[in-house]
Amino acid sequence: MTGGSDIADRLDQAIDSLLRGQETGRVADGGGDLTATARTLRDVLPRFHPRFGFEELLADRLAGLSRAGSPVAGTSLSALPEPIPLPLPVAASAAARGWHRRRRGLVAGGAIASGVSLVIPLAGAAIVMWRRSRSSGGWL
Amino acid sequence: MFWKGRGRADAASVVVPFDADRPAVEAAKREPGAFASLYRKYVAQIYSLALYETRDPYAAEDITEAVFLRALTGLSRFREQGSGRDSTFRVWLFAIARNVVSNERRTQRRHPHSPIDQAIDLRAPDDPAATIERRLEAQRAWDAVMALPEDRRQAIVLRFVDELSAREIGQVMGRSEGAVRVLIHRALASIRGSLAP
Repeated sequence: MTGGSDIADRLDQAIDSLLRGQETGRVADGGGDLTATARTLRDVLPRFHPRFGFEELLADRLAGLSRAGSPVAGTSLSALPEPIPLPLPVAASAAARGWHRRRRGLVAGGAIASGVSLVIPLAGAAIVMWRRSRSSGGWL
Repeated sequence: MFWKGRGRADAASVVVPFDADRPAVEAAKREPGAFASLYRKYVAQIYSLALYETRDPYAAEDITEAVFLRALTGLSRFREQGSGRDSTFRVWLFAIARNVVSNERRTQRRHPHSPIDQAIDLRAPDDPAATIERRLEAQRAWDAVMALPEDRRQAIVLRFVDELSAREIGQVMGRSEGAVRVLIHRALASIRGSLAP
């Protein structure tokens, strides 16, 4: 194994630890420490959430498609039904949504809704908490 | 953990790694309405990848819609293989997303917005001096990520934002796990240089 790939392997293990919310030892190459850079990216790169209206509209469209039985092989996208106005579907549970043990930045519809390192507008955080508190379920 | 699963039609059975989404995928194949749980679980991850790649929230929504419509209509043909782009549902879904992003980029005529820059401009009412330094570091990091070549940027976003493993990223991008690790190493080395004071 070359030195470069050895560093890449150890760096990958360090990133795994950081993403689990654990600290990790220093991994460096000739240019210096790489772990600090990985830690910075972990902290500042948010996950974005689409606008709630878009998410629900797409959920409705997928629900309509599901009711039409389109997953049968051979169905073409050109035959997709138009969105059907329906009550808002309930959100999936926190676990199903992939909420992590480590809180991470989340930007909803262009506004930061929750985060660990930057800013947390209260209104956005309230929306996220409202969504998280909704019970799990299917489309409707 | 490994389970026996259905493989290609010409194989009686293959041993594939446990896919946490397998029960939901099987349920959605039986009852398409069950696809909702997969959609809710992955919508933000797919949207994030699209937004980082296009920096345009409208294009990102178009991509997200196309990805999930393709996934739903193609789910009956998805066969978990344990390796490659059909290794797991998650890898399969991100591979679809990467293809859609690529197609969107070829046809995109909109001037991209910069939602990430807009987000970083938001601030709490009492923005302390320490937060300003933190925000500057974030701005430098984001600028550095956006300046990366496409393959390195995608690998970084998939690793740090979507939290895919190097193995999964390799399957999505059609590269070896080792090649992805080297790609991420080089990307981080490049970003490190941009973050240096």
